[in-house]
Amino acid sequence: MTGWNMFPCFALPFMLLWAGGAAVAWKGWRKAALTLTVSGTVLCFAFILMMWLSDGVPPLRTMGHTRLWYAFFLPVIGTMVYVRWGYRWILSFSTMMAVMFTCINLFKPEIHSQALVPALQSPWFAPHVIVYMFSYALLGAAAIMAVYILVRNGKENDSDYETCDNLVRTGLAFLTFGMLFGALWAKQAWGMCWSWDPKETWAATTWFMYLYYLHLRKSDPDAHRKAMWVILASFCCLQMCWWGISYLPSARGRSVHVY
Amino acid sequence: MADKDKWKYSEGFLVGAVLFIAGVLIQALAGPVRWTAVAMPLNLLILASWAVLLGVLFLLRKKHGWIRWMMRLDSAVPAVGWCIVLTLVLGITAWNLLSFWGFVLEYAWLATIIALTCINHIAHFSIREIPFLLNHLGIVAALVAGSLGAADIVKCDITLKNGEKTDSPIGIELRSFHMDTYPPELALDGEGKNNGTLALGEASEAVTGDWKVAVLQHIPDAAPIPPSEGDGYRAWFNSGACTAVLVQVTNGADSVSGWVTCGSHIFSPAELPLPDGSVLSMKPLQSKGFSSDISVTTPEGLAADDIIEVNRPMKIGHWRIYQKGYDVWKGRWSDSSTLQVIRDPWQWLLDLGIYMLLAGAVLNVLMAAGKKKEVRR
Repeated sequence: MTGWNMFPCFALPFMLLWAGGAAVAWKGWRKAALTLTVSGTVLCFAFILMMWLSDGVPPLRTMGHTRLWYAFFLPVIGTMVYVRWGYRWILSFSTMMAVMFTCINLFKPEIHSQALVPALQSPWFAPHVIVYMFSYALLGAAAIMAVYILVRNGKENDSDYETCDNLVRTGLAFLTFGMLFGALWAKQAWGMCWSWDPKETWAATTWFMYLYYLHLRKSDPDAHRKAMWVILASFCCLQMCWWGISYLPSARGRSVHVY
Repeated sequence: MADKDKWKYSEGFLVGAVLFIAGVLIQALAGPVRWTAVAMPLNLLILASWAVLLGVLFLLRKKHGWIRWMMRLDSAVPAVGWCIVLTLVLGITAWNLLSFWGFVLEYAWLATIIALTCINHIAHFSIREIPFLLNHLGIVAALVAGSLGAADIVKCDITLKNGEKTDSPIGIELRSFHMDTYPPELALDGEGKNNGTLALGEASEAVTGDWKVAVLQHIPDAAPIPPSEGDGYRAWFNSGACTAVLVQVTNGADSVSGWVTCGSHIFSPAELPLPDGSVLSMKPLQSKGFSSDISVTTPEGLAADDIIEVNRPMKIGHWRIYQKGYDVWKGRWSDSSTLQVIRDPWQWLLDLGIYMLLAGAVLNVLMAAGKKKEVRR
C-alpha cells in the first residue's frame, strides 16, 4: 500500500488547522495562531514520516514528493517569521501556498513506482532535496514580502527591507547547501562535481541572482524598489530551475536530473 | 579609505560590455576557447601570472582609483550582472557558451575582482573577516580548479567483459559483473484505462483498474516450455532466463488466466489480453543496483581489489573508478561492465572551494540567526 492512499485523511485536517491558524493571526491571537499552525505542520510531517516508513525509502523522488516537502516547509518558515517579526499576514501567505501545493497533490498526485534508480540511492539524496525545499520556502517568503513592499508603495519601513534581507540571506545559505551537496553527490555518482547540465545552469543563475540582490542591497541601500524587483526576478529563475526547465525546448532530453 | 573615486556601476557595466565585445572579436579571429590546450604546465603558468598581476594591482591600489574601485561593490555588482546574463543565455539556449571567449572573460573578470578584494581583506585581517573570506575564496578556488584544471583531467570509459583486462590508462581486470533488480511490475494498458501498475512484491493479489489480479505462480528465473512438451513456463537457472508469472484476472463474472513475462534478450515477452480489450503486461525489470568486482593496478605501482557500484566509486592514488553502465540489451544477464576512470590533479582545489563555501554558508546562517530581533508589529 502506498501512503498516498491515506493522503486526504491527513491533508484535509492539516489544511484546516493551517487555515484556522492564519485566520486567528489576523485577530492578533498569537498563541492560538501558533498552536493551530504548529499542529497542522506536525500532522503534515506525520504523513511524510508514514510515507517514509511504508515505502521504505524517503519520499523524495517525484515532483509530488517535493511539493509535499514544500507544503511542509512553508508553514515552518511562516511560523518562524511570525514568531520573530510578528507579521499577521505571513501565516495567510504560507497557508495559501501550502494549501495550493497540497491540493495539486490531492488532485494530480503523479504517483510513480517506488523503485529508486541506482544513481538516486545515495546518502546525499535526502539532505540535497530537503535543504533545497527549505530554501525555496524561505525565498518564496522573501518574494511575497517583496510583493507586499511593492504594493504598499512607500508605506513600508526599514524593518520590512531587513526582513527581506534576512530571508534571502538565510535562503541563499540553504540554496548553497543544496547546490554543494548536489556537487559532492555528483562527484560520487558521476565523477564530476559540475557539468553545466540545464538544471545546474539554472541553479547557478538562481544562485547568482540572489547574490546580486545581497550585493546590491549592500552597495546601494537606497535602491529599494529595484532590489525588490531583483527578488522577484530571482524567484522566477528559481521556478525555472525547479520545474520550468521541463518545458524548455533547449533543455528537453539533455538533463540528467530527470528520472 | 576616503575615496573620491568617480567610478561607479556604469563603468562596471561598461567594462563588462568591453569584455563581451573583446570576446566576440577573439572568437571571430582565433576561434573558440580550446580548453584542452591549457594543460600542465601552461595552466600553472597562467595561474602564476594571474597571481602576480593581482599582487601588482594590490600594491598599486593607492595610486590608482580604478584599482580601489575593483575592490568595491561598485565593480562587483555589474560583474555579477554580466555573469548572470551570460549564464541565463546558456540556460535558455543551451549554446555551448563554455568555449565562448566572452563567457570566459566575464567570469575571469569576476574572479579577478573577488580575488583582489580577498587580498585586501587578508591585508586587513580580523576574525570578523572569516565568513567573507570563506564565501569568496571558496568561489575563486572553485572557478580556478574548474577552468584551469579542466585540461588536466584524464577521463575515459572502459567496457570490459567478465574476466577481461585492460592496461591503459590503468590496469583493470573485471572479475565479475552483478545486477539486482526490483520485483517485477505488471501494467494494465488499454483505452480508457488509467494505466495502473502493480508491483509484485510480497503481495500475491492486487486490484488495478476494475480488475482483481491474483498471482498463482511466480518464477523469477524461467524459460518457456517447448511446444512439444506443453505450454507455460518452468524454472530455468541459466543466463537469459526471464521472470514469468501465472495470473488470474477477474472482473465480476469475467475471468481469464495466463502467463505474463517481460522476456529477456533470448525470450520474447508475453502479454495477457483481457476481455474488455485491455492488455496486462510486465514492465521491463528495473535495475535496483549493479556492481563490478574489479582488480586494479596503477602506473604508480598501487594495486587493490574492490567492488564498485553507482554512488560507490573506488579511489586508488589519484585515480577514481566509477561504475557507469552495462550491456542494456542483456539487462541483468549482462556479462560486460562499463567503467569510467578519472584522474583529476585539481580535484583537491575544487573540494577545498566547496568545503570553504559550505563553511561560509554555515556561518552566514548562524550570523543571520544571531541578528537582534526586530520590533514586533
